[in-house]
Amino acid sequence: MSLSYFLGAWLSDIIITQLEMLDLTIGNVIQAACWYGLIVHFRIYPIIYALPIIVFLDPRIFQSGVKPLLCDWTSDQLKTRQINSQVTDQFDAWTAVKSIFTSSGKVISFLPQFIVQLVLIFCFAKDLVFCFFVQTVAFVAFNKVITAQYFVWFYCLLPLILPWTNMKLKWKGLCCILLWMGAQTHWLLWGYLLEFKGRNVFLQLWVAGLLFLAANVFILILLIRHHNYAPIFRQHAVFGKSGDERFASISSSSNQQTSSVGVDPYPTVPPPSSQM
Amino acid sequence: MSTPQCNRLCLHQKLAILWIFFSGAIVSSSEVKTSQPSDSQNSDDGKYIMRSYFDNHENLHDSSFENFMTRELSSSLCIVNPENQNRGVRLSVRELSLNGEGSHRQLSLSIRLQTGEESIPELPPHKCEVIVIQRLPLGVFADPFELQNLHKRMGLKNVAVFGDTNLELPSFRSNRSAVEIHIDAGSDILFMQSSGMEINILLPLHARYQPLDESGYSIIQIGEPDMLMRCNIEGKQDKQSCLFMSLEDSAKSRISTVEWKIPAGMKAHTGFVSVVTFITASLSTVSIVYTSMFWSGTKT
Repeated sequence: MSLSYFLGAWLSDIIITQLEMLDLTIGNVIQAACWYGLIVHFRIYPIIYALPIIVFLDPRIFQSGVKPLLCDWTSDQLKTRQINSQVTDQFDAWTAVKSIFTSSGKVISFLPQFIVQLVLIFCFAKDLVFCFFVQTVAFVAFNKVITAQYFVWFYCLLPLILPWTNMKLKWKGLCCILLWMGAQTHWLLWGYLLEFKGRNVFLQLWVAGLLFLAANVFILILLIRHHNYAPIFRQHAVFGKSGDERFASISSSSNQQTSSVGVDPYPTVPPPSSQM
Repeated sequence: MSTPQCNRLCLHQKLAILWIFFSGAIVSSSEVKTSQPSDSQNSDDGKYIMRSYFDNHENLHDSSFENFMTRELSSSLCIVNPENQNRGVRLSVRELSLNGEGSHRQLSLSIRLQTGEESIPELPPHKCEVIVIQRLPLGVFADPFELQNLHKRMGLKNVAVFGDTNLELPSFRSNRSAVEIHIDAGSDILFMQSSGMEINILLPLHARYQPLDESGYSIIQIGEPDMLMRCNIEGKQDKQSCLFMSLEDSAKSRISTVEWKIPAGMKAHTGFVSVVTFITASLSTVSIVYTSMFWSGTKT
């Protein structure tokens, strides 16, 4: 693979993902779709973001071409529990995907990845940035193939979620960093002995892989528990559909707050004060 | 910064990034296209012997390859007086060794080209090249892209890999491959008598994942290469070429081999590895599902 293509793939992890999320935030769906196509062209793994984007584009939350109403983000706001148990029409697409697997062995080995991705999507899709991040961490952790460079995939999204976490660098954050680095280095050590020294250390490498999975899952759980769930957009009524009037009251109350938030695509409302 | 200015700046940034990636994609696609080493559309013009072999055979087998070498190439042999074995050339392997350790090693080939004691002055002017065909066993492969970079640095005339060049397949799902290397032997070499030439080649090889073995290692053997010399003779007609096969090779027994010990998994471990992996994956899944369902949308 030539250097320029590899560089493009690596940069797509960082830059194009940001641009795509920005375009979704400001309502440019077509443009965001183009960026998304470009990302998936360079790297196949962003295909896992397809479902949360579809959930995110729910007409009750997002209207194409119109700048959607942003949520108020203030440091002292108490967030009520929002368990998103809605199963949208898009879930049927996954039924079709499952039919691809013809043998039970493939299904069983893919099941943990599949379940984790689905649950993360339906719990965090509205907080799209955080959803991308947790999906990527889980995807790397549960992937059948493990290689050191995959950390770049979620590393570039870390600055986008850190402002909304309650985890402080001292000492929980630092412990997470050291735990992840320790588990990665441990795996790399056995990998080096196998590949470059030719020693039979398959068993030790397997144990190191399990420890790396455990470390990734532990850190992911900590990040979820310390995250301030922040849906990007406010729900509004969709008139002309099934006429579900219960959303009308949400729309009217959000309209009153529109003047304070405005339609500024670059909100300057600060994230929660708890910083790392 | 005001919004229209910001929009203009963002647009310029996006256009710049798009330009970078598309130009990179165009350059990379053109590079990949020109660096296909064993692409038949490059019109080899019959320069690769292994191309002829793989045109008629799907996979590389020792017996069919040796038949091919004796039968198919005999019609291309240069006419040399069989009674006088002092004419012609001798190609012999002086040294065959494997350097390095681990899954990435280098096969060191040292070949001696020796012309006969009597020169062949009746031949018209000619240019010759030495052809080395290294058949690789199942379990190792040569990277065609790596060889392309190498052949420029090592001053080789041509190099190509034939057979299974899929880098990612494990040993039990792959087929054998062979590397064909052409080295320029100079002009009018057959006019010289008793002259010799040393050719040293370092061929980078990589190990595939091996099938399970009780001992924990898989031992593969790499034998000596097949060697020929091809001379292009300039005559009245179009360029003619003929092959010299070293007279010693026809009855050569390949004694010299190198052994490569590659780590392999052990069947005794498969049971508990599968169970423990499944349990770990299940526990991890349950933990994440529990956390996601009961901690999404909360502030701690």
